[in-house]
Amino acid sequence: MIDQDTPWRSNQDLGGVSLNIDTKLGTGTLTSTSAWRYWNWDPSNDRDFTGKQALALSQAPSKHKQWSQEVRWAGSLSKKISGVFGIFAIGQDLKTDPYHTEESGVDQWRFAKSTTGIVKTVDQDALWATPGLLTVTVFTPFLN
Amino acid sequence: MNTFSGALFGQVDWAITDKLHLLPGIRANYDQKKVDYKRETYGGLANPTAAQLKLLQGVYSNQAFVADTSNTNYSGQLTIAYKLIKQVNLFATYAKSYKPVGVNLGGLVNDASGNPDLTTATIKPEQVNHIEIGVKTTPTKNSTLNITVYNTDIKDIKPLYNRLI
Repeated sequence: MIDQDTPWRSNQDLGGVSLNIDTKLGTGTLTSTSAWRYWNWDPSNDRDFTGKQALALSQAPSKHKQWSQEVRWAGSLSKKISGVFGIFAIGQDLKTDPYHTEESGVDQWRFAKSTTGIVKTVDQDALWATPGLLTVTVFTPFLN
Repeated sequence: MNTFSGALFGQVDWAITDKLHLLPGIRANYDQKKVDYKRETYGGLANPTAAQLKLLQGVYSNQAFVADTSNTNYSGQLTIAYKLIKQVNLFATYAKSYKPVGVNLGGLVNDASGNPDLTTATIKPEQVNHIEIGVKTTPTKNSTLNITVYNTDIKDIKPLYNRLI
């Protein structure tokens, strides 16, 4: 039996393409490798793993892209020396799609309760249990 | 988050004699990482008291910061290899390595005045020094026996950790 109240989803869409070019150059081979990849992530999780409304939603839909380029030469420099020399570059971009969400419900106070920010003049337990105090949604957009 | 890395690298194999090889390698790396982070909190009580607000903010808070960091690193290795006999190769390697500078994507801890502690927005590069000596053998046509002793020193190690926001 599974007791939970948030749909589970792990949708992924990923792929890429790369291009290799080899050519003779002097006493060796010049190689160019170009690559592009992407990873789109569309999850949904019941972070408290129960039918209680604690961490009701926790999802981080994201779009990730990267590209890379290498150019290298490998071959013989002399009768006794061989080697490889090259240049490499990689860039990546990670964005929320459109934003990450964490949502807490009426039961979250039981788990979040701590001595952080303690106010000694009032009844702590009653304060933590204030209905709706931690019924909160947190959005995290990474811009750029 | 946006990152860029560029590198120049080279390695040679110098056959000093038929049996003795020296293999130096070097790499220059430039890394840049940028993050623009914003966390917004909605909900809770319409009119919380000061004490209730303090509890809430201890658990959930708004936060925004921008971090942009870059670093240039030089890494490399040097191997000396000696072929004792056809079936026995001895080698020793020294390697200086690193993991690039980082940025924090999971939100920052707040300082005493409640502002994000920007000293935790970027993460120092990890520095690695490694030495290794060993022997690679082929005792018979269909067998391999290798023995390696190595020591790795890591400074500013970057462990992966998660914390709930």
